Amino acid sequence: MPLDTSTTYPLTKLRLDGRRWNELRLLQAQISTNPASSGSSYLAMGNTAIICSVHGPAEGRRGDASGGSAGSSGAVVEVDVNVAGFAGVDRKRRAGGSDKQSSRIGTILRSAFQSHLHTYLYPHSTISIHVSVLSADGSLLAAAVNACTLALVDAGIPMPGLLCACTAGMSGSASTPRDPTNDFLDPLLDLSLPEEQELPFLTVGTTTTVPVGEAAMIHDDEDEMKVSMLTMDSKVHCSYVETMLAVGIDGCKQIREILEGVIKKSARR
Amino acid sequence: MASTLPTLAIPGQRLAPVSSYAAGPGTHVQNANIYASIAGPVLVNPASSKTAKSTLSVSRSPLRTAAPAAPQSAPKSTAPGPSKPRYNTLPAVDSIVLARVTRVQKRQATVSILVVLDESASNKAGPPPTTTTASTGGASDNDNIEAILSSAANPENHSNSDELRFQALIRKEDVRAVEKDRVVMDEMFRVGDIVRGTVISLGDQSFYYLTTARNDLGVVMARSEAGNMMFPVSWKEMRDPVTGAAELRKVARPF
Amino acid sequence: MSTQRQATSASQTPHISPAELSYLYTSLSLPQNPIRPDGRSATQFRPLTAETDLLPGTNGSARVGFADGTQAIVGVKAEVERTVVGAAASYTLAEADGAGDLAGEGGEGSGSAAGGGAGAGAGAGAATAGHGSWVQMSIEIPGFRDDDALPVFLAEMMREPLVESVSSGSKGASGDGEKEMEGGLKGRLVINRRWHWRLYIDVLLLSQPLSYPLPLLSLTTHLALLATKLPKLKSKGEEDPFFDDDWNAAEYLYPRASSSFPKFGGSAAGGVPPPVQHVRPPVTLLVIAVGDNVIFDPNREEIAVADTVLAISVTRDGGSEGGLKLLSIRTIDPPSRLTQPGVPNSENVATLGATAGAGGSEEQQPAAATAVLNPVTGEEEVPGVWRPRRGGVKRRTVAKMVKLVLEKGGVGEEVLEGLESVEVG
Repeated sequence: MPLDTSTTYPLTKLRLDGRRWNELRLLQAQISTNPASSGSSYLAMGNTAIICSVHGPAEGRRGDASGGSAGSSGAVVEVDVNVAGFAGVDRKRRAGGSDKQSSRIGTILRSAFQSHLHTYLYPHSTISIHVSVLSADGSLLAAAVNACTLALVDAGIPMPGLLCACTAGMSGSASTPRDPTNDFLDPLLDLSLPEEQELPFLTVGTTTTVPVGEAAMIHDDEDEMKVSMLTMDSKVHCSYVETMLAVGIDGCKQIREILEGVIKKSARR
Repeated sequence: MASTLPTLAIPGQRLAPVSSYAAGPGTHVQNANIYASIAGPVLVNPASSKTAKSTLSVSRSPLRTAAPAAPQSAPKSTAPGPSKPRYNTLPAVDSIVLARVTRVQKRQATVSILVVLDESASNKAGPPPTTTTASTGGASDNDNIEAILSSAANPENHSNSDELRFQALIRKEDVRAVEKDRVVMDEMFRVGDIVRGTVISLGDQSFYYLTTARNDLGVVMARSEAGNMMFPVSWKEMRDPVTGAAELRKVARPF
Repeated sequence: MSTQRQATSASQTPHISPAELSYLYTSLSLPQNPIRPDGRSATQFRPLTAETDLLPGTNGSARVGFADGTQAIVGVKAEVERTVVGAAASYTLAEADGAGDLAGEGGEGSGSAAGGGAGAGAGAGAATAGHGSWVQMSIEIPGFRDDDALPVFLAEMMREPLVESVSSGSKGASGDGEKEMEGGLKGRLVINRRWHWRLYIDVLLLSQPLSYPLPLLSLTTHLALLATKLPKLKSKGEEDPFFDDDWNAAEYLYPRASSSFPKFGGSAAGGVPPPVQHVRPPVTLLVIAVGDNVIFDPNREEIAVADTVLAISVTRDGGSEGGLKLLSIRTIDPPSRLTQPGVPNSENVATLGATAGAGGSEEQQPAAATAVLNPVTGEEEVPGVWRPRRGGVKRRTVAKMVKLVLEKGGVGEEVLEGLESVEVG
């Protein structure tokens, strides 16, 4: 592909889709999209579109042998990820069950939300999350986390804060130690699929408490973002990780504000 | 302080310090602050007494119901939330229930819960209410306890609706407080007995767990082998008024 | 197989008692005007929400949400593929020619006119008629593997009428629009003798099926196919195909009678009113018969008491002046067969004592007096006592159902017009 970020970005400082390094793609979201579930959401980050529905907390299936012991202290979170055949550029046919990518996303989502939600309130029960990827254009995991958060809020499942996720990468391969005098690589926020395929990136998820009113002024320093999820599949020199993380956390902050707006809007309606 | 309360909370939003409010449903406490756990309007339930703090809770309803003019004036919403129901249709831990024995095994007795007794009434009177004091008015299940019990104690009605009721287990070690290891289940309960017990655990998917290990708990109604209603004579014996035969039971203290 | 059956029937049969079933059956089978639980008329459909073209990455897509909260999303993707049948002849010729390459087609020689002509003898039939396997359909239902029987069965049930939708009967019809759809969907997928489109239709059911999902999936697929566009072909004849980059110039898979399609409106379309789109993807409707009544768009409870459940596929065929054409009828095992029957008082052991006490002479009377012959099932029934429906379907009933769907101004046309109003911009 002649138009790749690593060659054109140093010249133009613009990414393939015309964004600057710290810009998110257009994020649109809706909640309560499916009345047949406890909670549901639709979320689009650029061309990545995800529908998420939550069922439960409900009694676990009787067939589950593990249900008795595993769920006794709190609810069990089940995640089912389905990437539609038409989601990618080329139509993909999966053989039988699910492919590697979707089961990996499902595992990450499950462990992230299992520890995040107040599951201890619902012993012996199951919260099942169904994620459908309608259109995949990068930052799939991050978009799925955000969609799940919205659907869980819609379902009224208690949580300590919104879990928001975002991807961050570097504008080059970044395989050598960083040179402070000649720093030509920029961190990039919210990668699209072509960028994801050629650049190193990580997915970071944060949760936080929102400062409000007077309390915000008094305890301003307490309200820090807490990273509750971090995953990286590609290789990057360790001197760049901090930059990427900082940019990713900043992106999460922006995403959180958008999600809050979505929740408030639907609550008022 | 109330002026800083947001009308609409979002999970993770700090609402107030614990020094000024008590945390209610939909909130959690972290670092001596109350945070919202779910999204919805913030409600303040005023304290019942001067000394207690008002309860802060986050309601979930308006997110779903499209009420355009939902009362968002949270500090002013002094209307107390739904008053505590006087009786529960669902057994909870510590609630006192009346149950009929459906099966007696060596290690446990299976019972089916007929009625969950009025919790507030049982608390104020110390010993749980008898069938006559339990009628607290209103269309509660407790009004027809007598009807339930009389039909339940009738052997012909057994097992026609048991599968529709909550099932519970009384384990051998939960039958009485003393001499737990000498308990013989056959000498404690018989199928068809009406037992007053208290819930110690919600158990697993299929059974609640009950205990009768208190003086006021145990068999309250039983029929003899001859089919007559028996009266209690001691904490472990009941007698048939017609034949005079005595049978062993874990008897609840009569009133 | 037995687990499969359980899964499908469990999703359909609501837990209602024999008395409720009987009540429902009685009110639905009232002569002339059935009373439905939600107050609809017999042919009235529940409201639904629909949108099309919501997925940018597909050739066509649609979402439909039913009133009961079930939703489905369909995405259609098209890929260019080399035609295997009949290609062998022209393939060798094309290689021998070694003609000029076309960008992006990997150095395949474009068939010369001679090569095309030679190949025509072998491949003409297949090339113009297309092939059913060029349309692939897959259905995702949560909780089912995609090789489970239900998704596979449903997919095949929907693919079949789709592929067979237009017969050769439309060949004689006038108008360029129909000519383009000659040979049906299969014919439309033919690019030239060596290349064709392969159509992937992916159906995504977003929630557990509350009732039989076929109508929902069919309507969604219908809308998605209507919204499907294929890039405009720039190459001619037997050249290797290449396409116009401009998506705005893309053509609808099912050509439509809008002003953006001038050659259709201009030519001899005859007396057919232009806004009516001639060839439409098929629609499968779920129709039930209760007693003498025919009821459309049944909900879960209504299916549970149906005597007959039919899935009727219809399409609009250019051949008969915009009339509807019946594509297929399938019977669906009505879940009422699995319901528990009610016990009439006369047979009830528990109440027998009470009846006996009234007097021995009367004991036989009530049963004899109340048992009625159901004209539809031919079984003796006591009014107010539920009996699971058994036995087959009367021909008269099937004919009535089909007639109601197909007749002019009937339900089938109504549905197609309703779907047309969803149209994409």
